[in-house]
Amino acid sequence: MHSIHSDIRKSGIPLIGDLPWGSHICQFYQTKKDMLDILVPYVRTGLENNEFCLWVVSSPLKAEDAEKALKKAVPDFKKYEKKGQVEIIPFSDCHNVKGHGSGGTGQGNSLIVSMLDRAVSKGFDGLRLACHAFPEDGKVFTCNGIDTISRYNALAIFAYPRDKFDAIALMEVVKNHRFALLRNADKWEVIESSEARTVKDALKRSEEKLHSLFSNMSEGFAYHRIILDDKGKPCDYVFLEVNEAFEKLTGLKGKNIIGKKVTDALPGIEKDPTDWIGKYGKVALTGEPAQFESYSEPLKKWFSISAFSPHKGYFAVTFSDITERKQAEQEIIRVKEEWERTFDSVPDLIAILDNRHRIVRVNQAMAKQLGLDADKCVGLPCYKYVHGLDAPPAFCPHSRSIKNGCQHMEELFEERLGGHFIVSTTPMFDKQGRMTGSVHVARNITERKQAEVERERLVEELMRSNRELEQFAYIASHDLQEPLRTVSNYVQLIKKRYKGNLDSDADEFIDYVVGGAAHMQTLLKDLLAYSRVGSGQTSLGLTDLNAALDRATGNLGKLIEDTGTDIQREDLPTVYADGIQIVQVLQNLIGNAIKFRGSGSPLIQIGSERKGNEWVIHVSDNGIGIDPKYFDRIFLIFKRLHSRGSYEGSGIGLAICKKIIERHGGRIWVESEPEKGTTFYFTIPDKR
Amino acid sequence: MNNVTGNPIEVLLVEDNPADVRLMRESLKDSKVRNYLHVVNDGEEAMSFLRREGKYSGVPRPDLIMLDLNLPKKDGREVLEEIKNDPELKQIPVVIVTTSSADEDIVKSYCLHANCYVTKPVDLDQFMKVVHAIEDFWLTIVKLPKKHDMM
Repeated sequence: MHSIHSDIRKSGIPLIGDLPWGSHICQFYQTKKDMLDILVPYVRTGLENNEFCLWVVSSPLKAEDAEKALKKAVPDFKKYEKKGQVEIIPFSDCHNVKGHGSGGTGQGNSLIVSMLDRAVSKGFDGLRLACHAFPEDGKVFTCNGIDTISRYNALAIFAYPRDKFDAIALMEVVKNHRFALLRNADKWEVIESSEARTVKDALKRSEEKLHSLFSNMSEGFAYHRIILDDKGKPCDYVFLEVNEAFEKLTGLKGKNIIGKKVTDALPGIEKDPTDWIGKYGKVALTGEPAQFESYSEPLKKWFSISAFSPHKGYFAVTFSDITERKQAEQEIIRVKEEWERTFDSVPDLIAILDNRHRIVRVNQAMAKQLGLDADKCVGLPCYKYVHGLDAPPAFCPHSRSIKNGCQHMEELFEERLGGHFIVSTTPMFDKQGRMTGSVHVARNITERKQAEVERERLVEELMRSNRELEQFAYIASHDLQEPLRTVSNYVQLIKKRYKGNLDSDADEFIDYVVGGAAHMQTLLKDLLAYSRVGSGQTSLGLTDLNAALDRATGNLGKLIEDTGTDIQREDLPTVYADGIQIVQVLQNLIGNAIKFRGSGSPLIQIGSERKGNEWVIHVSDNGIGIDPKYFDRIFLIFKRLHSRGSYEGSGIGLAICKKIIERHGGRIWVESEPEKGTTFYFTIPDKR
Repeated sequence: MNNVTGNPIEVLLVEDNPADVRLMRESLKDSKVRNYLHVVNDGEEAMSFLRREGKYSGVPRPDLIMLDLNLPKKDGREVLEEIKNDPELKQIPVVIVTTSSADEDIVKSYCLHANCYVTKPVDLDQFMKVVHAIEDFWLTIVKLPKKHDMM
């Protein structure tokens, strides 16, 4: 790359060659021809290189002379004239020229600056000025104009009348310009000002330093010229210089893009949501520097950019790639937003509290409950705003968390919040392990609480009515026995004493009364047994079903022996149950199996199978079987399938089994086929 | 030692059901032991009898008490407790004769030092058998303290 001022222009004067922007040289003339010799090729070259050319003429040269000479030298002069690229004005029309002796300042600038503006706004690269520097006695272009030129994209030649200067004055002029052109006989010679050279060398050194700085700086640097559309609006820009960091950061190679429009170098940039051209255009046209961070869609990167304009129509940018930082920032923002969304969408009332019960932060639900904006809650003592108290209430779980650094929970009714809440406080710690406060979460459980109360009431009601019913069954069966016994006893006494003394009808009737009383006695006894299953506390414990079966078969020993029943048993598990009740179940089932035996010799098989977390116990027989339509009925109290004549019993046995099994959390059912046999199954939960 | 020839045995029956009282009398009618059956119908009467209060001032001290549990006014359990807590009465054997076969009643009675517990059978023959067994055991087999020893 070149320096910032390296936008090298052709001077059009062979003796001088190329010149950088900002150069001003002078010529000494003696004749009109002298002037035209130098100025015509100079202006022509400007026209050919897209520069705006301004020629200020003065005696002895007239505007017509200049125009005529140019037209001759530039075949398509009209074209340039039409584009407004050239103006020839008489010195007298320049109002910003002041008397030599008046000592004014900046008289030349405004002309040059306004011309430069015009040049840039019309899309020219810069301004090329040719000027009669000492047009009339006592009047001169001041040095301020020269300063302006050196700072902008401008070139200037000042023409001085040779005759008006003595040697000293001539030296003075030469000193002030980069080059001076002097005609010696027929030959033009160039004098380079030693002072200017010194300055040039210094500049060169400083440029080299600058160059090294630009090359080595980690920030990208680029220098551009803005391009305007017909309406004077920025529509593109041209890369003039870039440094190495630019290449590294953008991936664009300087050799490929220098002199190119950005719309060619980075197609689609004009559609980027970041209006790069507009932004830079503003900087280039107003001269106001800009700093911003933006995402470049074509480059897929974030940049931190500062742009400034060293000359109107030009801008330089320095930038760094902040993609990583930006992505990290965006990730932080995303995470933060996600967290906040989550925090705020929780319906529970959440407040983060410090160790002095002051609110650090609340979620939306809590803010709404307090009737304040979330940020207005910060710093408020929670006991005051939540509970309306002057100090934390006794139940406050946060107080306990502060004391011992543990999580605490409390269920409470808070009238101010209109319901029951379950409040948890989870302490938070900093990196040093010091508690900084806690997350205080209050969940409204009013509905659940009400349902719980209602459920408890129902359960209590149910238990009471159950207790009453059992009590009733117990008392009824117990207390009814007393008068029944009296009836039974005395009928028997009558029978004993008077049998045969009354007529035969009386004897028969007495037998019926005795039979009825005995039957009722059985029913009452069974009812009592049934109600007792529910009345006492079940004493659950580890129960070895093998031992329970031993007890059951032991109790039935005589019956088993008398009927020749074969009992085949597998090893049974140990379960969690009330042993006495389980014996009763097994005894009832085995008793039934024997009672309803078929014609062959009775065989009973007892075994178990593990299913999930319960055991299924089965008792199978080869008896008379049960018609499937009675499967449900047999478990009902006092329901019998057979007449009292054929089989004894009140029909309580299976009802008791069902009640016992259900009290253990199990189920009982039957599978059977008439004439083939019956299998009773019951489940009992595994030991817990 | 009680015997057929000696003084009759004094038995106190505490029973509110007249049917049972009568049945008891019928059962004891053909007893081997000469006995005299005193009957009171509630717990308070029973205590008055035992302490020979009021109209019972002249009654003999019973050799055996047959006590029902479910009684009006003072419950049989209370009567049992009072007897067994009374140094003068606690040596008299008390046989609980009741309808209840509840474990609770049985255990409670023995805890209160009942001497035995019998459930009234429904069957008449059984009933009589039980009464005879009580009579046989307590009135003939068992040696009871002599009356002067008890004083």
